[in-house]
Amino acid sequence: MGKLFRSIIVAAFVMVVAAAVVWCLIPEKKGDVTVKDGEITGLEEMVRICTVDIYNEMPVKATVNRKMLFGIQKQTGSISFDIEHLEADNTGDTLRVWLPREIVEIHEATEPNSWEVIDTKGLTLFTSDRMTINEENRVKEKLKEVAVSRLYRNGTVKRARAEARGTLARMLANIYRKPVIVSDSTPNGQPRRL
Amino acid sequence: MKKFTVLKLYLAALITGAGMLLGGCRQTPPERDFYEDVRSVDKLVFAGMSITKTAKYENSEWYKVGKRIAVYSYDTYMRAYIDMSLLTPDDIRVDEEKKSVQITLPAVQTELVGRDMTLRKEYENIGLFRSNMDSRERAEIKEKANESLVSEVKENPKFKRQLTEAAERKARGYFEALFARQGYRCVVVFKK
Repeated sequence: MGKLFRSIIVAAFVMVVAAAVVWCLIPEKKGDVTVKDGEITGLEEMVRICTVDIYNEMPVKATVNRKMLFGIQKQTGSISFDIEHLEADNTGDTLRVWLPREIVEIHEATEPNSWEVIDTKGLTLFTSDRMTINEENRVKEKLKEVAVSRLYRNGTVKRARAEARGTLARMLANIYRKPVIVSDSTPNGQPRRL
Repeated sequence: MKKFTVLKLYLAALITGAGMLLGGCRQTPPERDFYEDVRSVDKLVFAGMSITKTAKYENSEWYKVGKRIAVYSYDTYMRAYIDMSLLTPDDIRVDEEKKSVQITLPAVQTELVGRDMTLRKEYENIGLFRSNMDSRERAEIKEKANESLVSEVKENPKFKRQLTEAAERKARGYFEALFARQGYRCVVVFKK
């Protein structure tokens, strides 16, 4: 009788543990997403010449903390120049100005599916395949750095600076009605240390 | 001998058929073209705006113990500019006698520049027996927030209006100051 009772207890315990494991493994269903209205958090006045607009769609394969993410990202960006406080010499017959440092901006695009996650996986047996938000943000920051340095490497910044020299010279010649020379001491640009 | 040749032919046909079948069934990996565009533009940007979007995710099932709530936010950026390629020499009229200039600038245009790549975690409450949020879920939340923002910008004129007003104010001030340095009074007009 005691043996039978003990068997029933053990069987019940095993069933409870099995049920708990199965219950924990039931995948999460999709939740409800509520989106608040957009709130204007910044309004900045500026005077910038923008000479290059960038659109880029790229596959993303990144590893952080022994977790891998594969996805597709669409990026938008621009290269512009702050001309509000131009360094200028207007003493002679010719106006001479110096082209300032470029402002390189890269963002995620706002068109549909600009950030698609195809898969994430843990690279070791005991690593979770879920990335935390901090890990994912680290991946994204790295993507931005890579995109910006690529613009310097492939000559896009150089092209943007050359075009800015032309645009600025034309605009200022119309205003000052005298010859304008736009000097550029760094035609290839100056990458910022991130 | 004849029997042997027939057998050989039969085998050859079988192998060829199997090869064709296998070749037909072979799956080619899905291909996707990635697009890249670097476009020369001639924009004079006078104002930029950041818009914060906040999205809440909640998932409660009767058979699950514990909450699964997450709130994230990120910024999207807009800018207002004039297209300098539309400016013609006739748009700048100078009156040397009166020392005045009238400059007719192209209409201010606005555009969405892009959004933050990263998300800010405002709040998260994931119960002990619930799964952590994963990257795909966060991407879906961002996608929904983005859809909402794009339609808001289209339907609600307040974003464009504020940005355009700021850009026109800045453009006026900039050109007035530039011409004032030459001793000219400048009147800035915007094309509609």
